[in-house]
Amino acid sequence: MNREDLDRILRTGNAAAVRKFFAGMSEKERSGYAPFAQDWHDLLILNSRADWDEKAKLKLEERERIKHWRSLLPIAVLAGLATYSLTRIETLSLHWFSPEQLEDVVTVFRERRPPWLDQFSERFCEMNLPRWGGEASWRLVRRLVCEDLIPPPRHDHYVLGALHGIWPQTERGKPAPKLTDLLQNERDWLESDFWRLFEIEGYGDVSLAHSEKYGGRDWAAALLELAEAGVLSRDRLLDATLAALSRDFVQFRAGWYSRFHEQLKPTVAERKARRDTYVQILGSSIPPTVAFALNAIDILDHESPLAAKVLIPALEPALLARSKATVSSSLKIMERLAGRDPSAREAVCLGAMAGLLQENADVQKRVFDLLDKLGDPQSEALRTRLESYVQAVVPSQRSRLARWTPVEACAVSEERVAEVSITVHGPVSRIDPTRAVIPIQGFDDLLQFAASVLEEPGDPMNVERLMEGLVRLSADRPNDFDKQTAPLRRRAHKKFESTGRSRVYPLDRMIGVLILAWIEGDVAEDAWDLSPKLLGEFEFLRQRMANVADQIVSRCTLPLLSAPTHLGGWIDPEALVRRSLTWREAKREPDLFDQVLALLRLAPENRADALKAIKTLKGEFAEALKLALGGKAKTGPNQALWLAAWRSRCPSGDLPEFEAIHPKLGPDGGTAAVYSWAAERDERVYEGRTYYNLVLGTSIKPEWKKTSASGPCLPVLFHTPWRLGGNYASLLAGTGILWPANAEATFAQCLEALTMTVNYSDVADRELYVLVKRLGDPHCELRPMACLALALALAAHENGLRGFASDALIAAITEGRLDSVALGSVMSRLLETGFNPLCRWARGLREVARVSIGHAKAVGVLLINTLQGDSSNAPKDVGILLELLFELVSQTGVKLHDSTRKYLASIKTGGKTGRLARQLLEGG
Amino acid sequence: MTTAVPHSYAYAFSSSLEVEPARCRLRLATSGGVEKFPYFFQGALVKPRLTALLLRALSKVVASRFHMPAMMLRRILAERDPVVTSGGGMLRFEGFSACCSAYARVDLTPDAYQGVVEGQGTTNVDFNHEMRAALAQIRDHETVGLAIGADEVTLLRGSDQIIERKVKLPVRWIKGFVEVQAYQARMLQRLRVGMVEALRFLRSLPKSAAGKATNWVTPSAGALRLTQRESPEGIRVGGVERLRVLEELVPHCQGLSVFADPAGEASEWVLHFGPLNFHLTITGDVWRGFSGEGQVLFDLASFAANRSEAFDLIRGMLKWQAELRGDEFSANWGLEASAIRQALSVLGSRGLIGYDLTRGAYYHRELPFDLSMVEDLHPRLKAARQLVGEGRVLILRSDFASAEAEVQGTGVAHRVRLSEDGDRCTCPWFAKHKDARGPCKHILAAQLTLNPDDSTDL
Repeated sequence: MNREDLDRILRTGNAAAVRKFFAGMSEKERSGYAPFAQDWHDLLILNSRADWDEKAKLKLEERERIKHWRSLLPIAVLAGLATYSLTRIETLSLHWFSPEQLEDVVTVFRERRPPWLDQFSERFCEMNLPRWGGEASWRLVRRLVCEDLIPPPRHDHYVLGALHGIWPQTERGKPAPKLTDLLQNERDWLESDFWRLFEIEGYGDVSLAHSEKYGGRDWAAALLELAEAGVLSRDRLLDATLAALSRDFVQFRAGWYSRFHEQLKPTVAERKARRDTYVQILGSSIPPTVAFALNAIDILDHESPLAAKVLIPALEPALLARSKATVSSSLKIMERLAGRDPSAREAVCLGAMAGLLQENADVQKRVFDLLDKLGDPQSEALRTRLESYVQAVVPSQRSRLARWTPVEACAVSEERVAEVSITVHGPVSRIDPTRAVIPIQGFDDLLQFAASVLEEPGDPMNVERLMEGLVRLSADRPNDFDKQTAPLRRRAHKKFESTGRSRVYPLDRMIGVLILAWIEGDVAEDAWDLSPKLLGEFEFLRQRMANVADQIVSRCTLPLLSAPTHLGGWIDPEALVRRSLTWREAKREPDLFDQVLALLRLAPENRADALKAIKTLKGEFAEALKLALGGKAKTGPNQALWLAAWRSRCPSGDLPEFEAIHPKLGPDGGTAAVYSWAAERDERVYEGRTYYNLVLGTSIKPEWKKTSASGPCLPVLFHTPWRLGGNYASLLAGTGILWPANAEATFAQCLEALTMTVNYSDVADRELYVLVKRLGDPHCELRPMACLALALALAAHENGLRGFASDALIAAITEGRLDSVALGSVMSRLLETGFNPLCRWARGLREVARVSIGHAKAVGVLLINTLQGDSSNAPKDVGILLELLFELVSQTGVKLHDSTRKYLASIKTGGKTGRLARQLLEGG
Repeated sequence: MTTAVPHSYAYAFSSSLEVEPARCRLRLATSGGVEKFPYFFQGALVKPRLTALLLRALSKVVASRFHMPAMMLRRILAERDPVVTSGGGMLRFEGFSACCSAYARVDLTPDAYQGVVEGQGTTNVDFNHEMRAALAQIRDHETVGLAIGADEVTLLRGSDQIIERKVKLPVRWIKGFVEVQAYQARMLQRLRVGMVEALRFLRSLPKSAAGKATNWVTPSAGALRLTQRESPEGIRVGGVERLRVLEELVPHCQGLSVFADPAGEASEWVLHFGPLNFHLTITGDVWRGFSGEGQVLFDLASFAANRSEAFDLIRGMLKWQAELRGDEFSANWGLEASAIRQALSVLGSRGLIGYDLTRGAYYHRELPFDLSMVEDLHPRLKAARQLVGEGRVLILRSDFASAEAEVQGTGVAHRVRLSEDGDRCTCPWFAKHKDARGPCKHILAAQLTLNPDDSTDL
């Protein structure tokens, strides 16, 4: 037998022949064949990859194409197992084996019995069991263990692998075998390694909890059956579940053990024997585990009352839990203890006070009820302890402090909040010196700044500063310009090439082009081609940047008219006049995109002074500027220029004079865009479960049509429909400062995506961060679309987005921009859909109310304006909003409107919501 | 490049909580450092339940990863144990999360225990599953003894078997230990709130990872508030979910202090419990570990050239002084503050000192790891040395206040400017990070050329 024979055998794919070939060979002889076996194995792997891997395909051209590689690969692996060293064997992919070929592998090992088989099994478990096809690998290891070829591996994967691996492959349509039977067949495993399932947490899709929830494999039922049959020790199962719960596994995986423990239905005697363990588990950091242990303690305490010295310290972690149900249950047990043991009353009161840290009026009420019933108001210990919790007491319960502590101590909370209450003030001037843009100072700064913006293009003001600097300093070229700019040039090329024409990172690419225009003095022919093309305002931005690049290439250092002088994209009107004069002196004309943008960025402040300085300017742009600044001018023929001038003067109203000359340009042409919207709760049934979604429809009048104005007619362009996608965050930030006076169109465009964020998490979040952040801008007007965007973002599933919305609301209240009636009516209409996740508003609003008394009042008024209209379709969790309102009414004394009273009076539900509605009607 | 260093934990016994009818005893096993099985302490805890809670929280941080692919975690999370340092009457337990973005330390002052400090130094301490679970049993009314290590007699008499665990310690994990003190020493206290406000804030944090937004924590109505808006008084905190480990501890604390470095790259959250403190130090972003921060590179690069008497003096004093304060050195020994700072940085980078923000002092702590095996502890410095060695640095101009150099990179020459106003480089790394994550290799190379350094043993 020689290599030719082996080659022939391997090519025929005969497993029996491979086994026979190596039978009786020594390790040394086998290792001689290893390189040959590996070469063959690698060739087959190369064939397998050639179908989808271009590199492999090319490589294969130099070697041999094997048509039936798939059927030959398991035999090649078998030859590898028969010849390889331990190190080399780890490179084999055993998942090529079908269950029928398992026997061949076992036979090879049985005949070979290499000295490193133990090590192999450990490494094999580590590498193969968590992979796809790990079930077969587990069965192989089990077979080797059963054959006594290896001891049971110690690796965790050997234990966890059973969760999937114990199930044999079954033919489609045939019923799966019963887990109890499978476990009975693995008795040695069941008696030993099975118990480690209670010690090893698992991961991802490998855990008892996962198997049960997603795998449809009920391990709990099988284990219960085996426990009942006496195969598994019931006592050991009870202990093992409790031991698992003391290990701080993550909540999802810990849940299986607590559920299974309860499914075992422990008797009181069994629970009693494990009392100390339950007490220990009360200290768990997993809230449901604490609730589980508390339930056990409650049962024990009922049946066989526990002593105060055991119970009070044991309940401390439960009283400090985040869950109000857990705290309430603990208080119940404490109260029972005080009832049967009067000597423990003071200790019970002291312990129960921890419940005040639960920020829920009902729980706190329960604590005060307990204190009033059991405590001695003269007790120094109680008073001292209570004073340390004063800050935690919710407004509606503060009056109850008076019985226990002096009035001054009770008032601390109010005073502290009042001390730091924020005075509501109007927003700072758009052209306040503190908001002025600092121009780039010289070549060195420009070089550094350009490199920095190329890496981080997210801030649109930096992009604007860069463009302004590149234009102004385009002629400033030191002697070693090429050398100094070489690294930046290389990097810009890299960015430009890596982004390709894709619109995934269009801004990165466009900044790269600008920088290359400066360094190389040229712009590649296809530099501005993006595929697919950008639309609307994004296309305007692209065109504008292309024009700036042309100006850089021509080294024309005349100022960019449209470069913002202040944060937010605003231009000081006087600065624009000065720039225009510079262009006139040079007897040149800026491009139309620059002119349009400059007009739309004009700050409302200082226009009258600027108008005085404009007198010497001539031409159509000068006339348009005059109009924008508030002067009189006759609307000229250039529709984009004059639209910009009119919209600069009147961002959101109708423009009859303009419309008469340039009619029907589209929304926000001569006719202002008017938005309308409707929301409803959509209901869908899938696999027996009903799913609800919020659906929002919007419409704009006049409608945007393909025939609407294009080119540089920027206000109309904002209505060109587009969808969020790819990495639009920096692009959206860039267009956000194109027309700072009116963002309604952008908010309207994003409403669909924002609605999705209420329904699901992770929906174009980065793009929406940019949008919602804009609501917090001191000069962003909260018009209807902005209000709707804010209301949706406040209910977003994702924490970050909700946080941005809360920040925006805080800023709007602080700066006096919030129109509570407008926002409240939007929220009220949304609430009428009955869509429950909208009650997430309560979380954000609670945070906003904490900022100051002024904010608390504003939120109270906002809620009063929200709780109006038809309550018949209110979400089931509307009580959370009522609860917040009740606290705010208690804290600030805001009064309910008649329409809110009507809304509350029409709430017919009982329970907590009904009670709160009644309390509000009585107290508010 | 080395990514992990083989390390062997060898414990004379397994740490455990021994429960007896009237009392219990927390017996912590030690491994490595000044001796094979150091013996540091024997006594009783003044606040047993609280100490147990803090040690559990520490072990939770050590066992956590806040950012890292799960598969990778399983391979590197080979039960790294915390270290304990005994010195100046203080017992300090410290450790890092697996992702190296969070560092936790429990400080026991002499008022936190009754007993005898038998030895000084730093050693690994066994925090096994069973012991950690048992910590939940400890209550305040019980008498709880604490032993860190065991005396020779006990060891000889005991029937315990030596427990040996061979692991691969990730280099980034070890590097975290030497980098974190550089941040801490620069931090200033920014916020302080009471227990109720601290709890309210921590309970307001999102339960899951807080999305992709960067957060700031700002003071608001005498409390703390999480916001996405940057503000001068705010502290930048990415990955706020890391703070949730504090939630369980807060109801027992007297207050929370928040420290932050001026650049907002890291923050430390200290819970005060009277004689005990719990420190949680986190990086500005959850995906950044302390290991890659490069805060000490400048000092290391110029160390050999400027090796001063301050270094030798402080190095010598570490042998008998448990705590060091830079300003005291300056006053007592007439040494320049910059020389002291540099010496302390270098000592920190060698794992010889840690920093205690609440005491405003460095403390002696010799890490029980073989740092000499980590040849890539500072890869940027290594790369800079290589650039110098290959003659790729050309000094164009140099005077007292500034210098300019050209450093040949791969296919392109970078321009480096060193000045008192701040250094600059034209490489993309600098464009992205500026000096927030330490200097780039080109700046370091220019600096090494200007201040030749023949030391390679860092």
